[in-house]
Amino acid sequence: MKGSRPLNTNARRRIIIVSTVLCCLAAVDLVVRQYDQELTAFYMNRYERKQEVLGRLPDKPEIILMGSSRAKYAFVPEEFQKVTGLRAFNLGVPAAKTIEWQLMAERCFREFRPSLVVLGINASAVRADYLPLPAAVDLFEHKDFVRYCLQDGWSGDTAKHYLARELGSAWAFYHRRYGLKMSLLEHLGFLVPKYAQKAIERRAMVAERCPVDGFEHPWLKGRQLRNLGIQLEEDGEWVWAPATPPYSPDATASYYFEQLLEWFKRRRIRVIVTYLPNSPRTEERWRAVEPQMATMIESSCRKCGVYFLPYSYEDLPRTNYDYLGDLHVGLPLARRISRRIAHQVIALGLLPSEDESKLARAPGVGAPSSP
Amino acid sequence: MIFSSWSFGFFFVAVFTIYWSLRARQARHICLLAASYLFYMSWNPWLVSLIIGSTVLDYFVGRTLEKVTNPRGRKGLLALSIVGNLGVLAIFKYADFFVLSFREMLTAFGIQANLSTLSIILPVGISFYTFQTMSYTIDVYRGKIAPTRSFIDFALFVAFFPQLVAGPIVKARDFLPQLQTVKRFDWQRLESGTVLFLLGLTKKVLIADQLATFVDPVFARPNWFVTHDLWLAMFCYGAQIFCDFSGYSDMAIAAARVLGFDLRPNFASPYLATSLTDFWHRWHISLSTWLRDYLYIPLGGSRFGQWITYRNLMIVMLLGGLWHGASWTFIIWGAIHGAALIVSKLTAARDDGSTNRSSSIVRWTSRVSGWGLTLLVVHIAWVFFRCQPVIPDGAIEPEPTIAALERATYFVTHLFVAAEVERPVWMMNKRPMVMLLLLLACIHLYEEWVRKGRPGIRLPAPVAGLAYAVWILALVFFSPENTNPFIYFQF
Repeated sequence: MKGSRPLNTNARRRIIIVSTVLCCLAAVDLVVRQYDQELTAFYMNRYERKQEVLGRLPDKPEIILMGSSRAKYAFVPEEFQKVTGLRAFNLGVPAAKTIEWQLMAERCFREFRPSLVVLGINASAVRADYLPLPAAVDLFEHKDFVRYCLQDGWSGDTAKHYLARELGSAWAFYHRRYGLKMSLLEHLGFLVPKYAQKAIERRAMVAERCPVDGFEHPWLKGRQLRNLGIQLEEDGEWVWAPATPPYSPDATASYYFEQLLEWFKRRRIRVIVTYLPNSPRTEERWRAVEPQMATMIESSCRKCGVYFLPYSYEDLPRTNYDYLGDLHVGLPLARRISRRIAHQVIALGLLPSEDESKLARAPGVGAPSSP
Repeated sequence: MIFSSWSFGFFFVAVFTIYWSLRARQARHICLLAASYLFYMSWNPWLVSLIIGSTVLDYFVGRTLEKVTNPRGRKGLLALSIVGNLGVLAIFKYADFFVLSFREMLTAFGIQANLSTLSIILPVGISFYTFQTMSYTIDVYRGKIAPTRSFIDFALFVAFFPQLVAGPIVKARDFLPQLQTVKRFDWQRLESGTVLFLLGLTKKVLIADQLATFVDPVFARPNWFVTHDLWLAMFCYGAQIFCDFSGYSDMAIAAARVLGFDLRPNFASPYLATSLTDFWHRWHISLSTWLRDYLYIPLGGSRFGQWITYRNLMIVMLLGGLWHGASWTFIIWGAIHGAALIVSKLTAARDDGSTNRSSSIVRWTSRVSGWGLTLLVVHIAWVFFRCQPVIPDGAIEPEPTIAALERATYFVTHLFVAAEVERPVWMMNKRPMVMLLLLLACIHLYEEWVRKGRPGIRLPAPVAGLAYAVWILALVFFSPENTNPFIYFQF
């Protein structure tokens, strides 16, 4: 590369280098595209999974139970059905928050309109540092991308993941890195047996078929049976604890939440928001911010004229032993919560057969400011 | 917007295209200045006013110094600049530290004082650009450089985005003359800049961010780990901070190079240093030369005898520690380096001449032991550097300094006394960490090889292309999901 060399030699060298790099990247990209199906077999939190099941159902459920992983574990459709006599479907998806809920609602409720949506929420849904994350971007269409860029301003994260998704399974654009890593580990069983086993288990878990009511709880399958109370007894401070979410009265997530409620209103879909608390341990740790965040959620509901059901600590006493981990409830408590909400829904007259006039007279729940 | 993020990639491509498509020198400078402010505003739009304020102050002080001949007036102007710059630094960086320290001291004496902190946000890179602007005024005052007449040029010197937030600290006498020349696009600069940027990215993404996954939990709870884990974590942190910071410097130098500017190297394989003095000639060179030129030498340097030299060394290192951050652990880190430098000078004075006369085996042994000892001292000091007071979950203010110091002391003690833990953390896979340390050692040795003027590796073009492709794919494949901010951003 010295200046004494003729320029054309250097130029030729550069052209060869750049072309080789581009060819190699393109070749790898092509190979990865070929194995796309194989690589997606390791992705757990696919939003489309439940949507696909819901879309395939010939008779659509009347009650849709939405929310994050907290809702995924806490809402038992069977209990709703027992109490209300109506079919319910659990659409709770891990890592989902306000934007993801809206996008999922827009996709799922294009074709049909449920009689009621029960939205399980927690303080972390309105955390101050929330932006459309990779998970949400998976749901983006062009208009969503433009919409969130206009609302949030420039977000490198959003653009990156949107671009990655648009470009397909391009390896050089990150999209299948995780799948590739897992696939490699799976094939390197002779070298790293422990990690290979993990990859095999992950593939098996993803391959499990989603039940027709959308409800999946590890305790139903005899997995992760050591509840939080036992974990704390045995492992003490070693048990992982979620960090306290940042609170801000101007959190963008709160704005998105109100937008979601407005969207339901425009679509004339009845919705009820219910608070799903963390384990007593996390509740104690989040004490500095959680009450304010819950109040923020409640005021958003009031503003949009939507019922908000705070968690009833008297009726549903709970301990760390009722929890799967710090954020997710165990099965018995999930059943109790579901029954309780179902009864409250009936009491509020939110189901089609009930008289609209009962709305204003329902006892024990937060009343909307503009019904 | 950090260098290892996609947003910076988009931003830089846009700036690069606009910059080289402009022909007029002044238009290019305006373009770079606008880009630099935009780059800074991506963190906090309001804090750019501090940079502008500092720029305006020092520009006018520089221009006025040119006109004023009266020594008292000149001193007054210099004082105005220093007080202005250090005042901003004191308010934004150190005010809370002084309040908290004072409160902790009162508490130690049993007095409960209700002193509240200002809780001001720390502007990114404030220590870097403050030192940069101060160096300009001091150089103008000393008559080493003529004040610049162009405000745009001066503003660009202060805010030049490749090195704005984490250095290298550029001196006006190095940078301002570069603004006077008309730059032409050069493929060779683009090529070498791209390779250097990739190297910096590798250090950051492939080594530093990966090491952090092991280092962070160990330093957060050293009492959970056994002695050999502590040793490994200590060396991993040394590697992490080097790769993080020198990776940033490499990327900054590369970005500047592609735009036609030359910044001086900030690192020179520091972990190959055979003495602590040698280490400071190789580590964060721009800061150490700044401290030497604007603090150590004005204090008297080594001109007034042994004890004054030692005093000066200690002052420089303590202030160097404080420059890094408003915390007692940084001051202790500086004190360790100061003390070790004094000891090193003392022993060097005693050995003076005898080593040169000894056999090559003795010289070699002396160098190896010097290298080992330097590495050990530097890494033990890193423990104090890393153990910062953290903000407990749900709290607003950081834990007391004493808690961080206890953690650091526990860490260092149990490097030499077997640590007893309830149960070893078996889930940590340490093999990749050792591999990363070996990778760093290879990079270090290669950089030293090239630094000494030996020829770098020149592969045939197709092989080089293949190697670059593998390199890029490795970066993509191994980079963590989330981009971690650079450690030196907080300083």
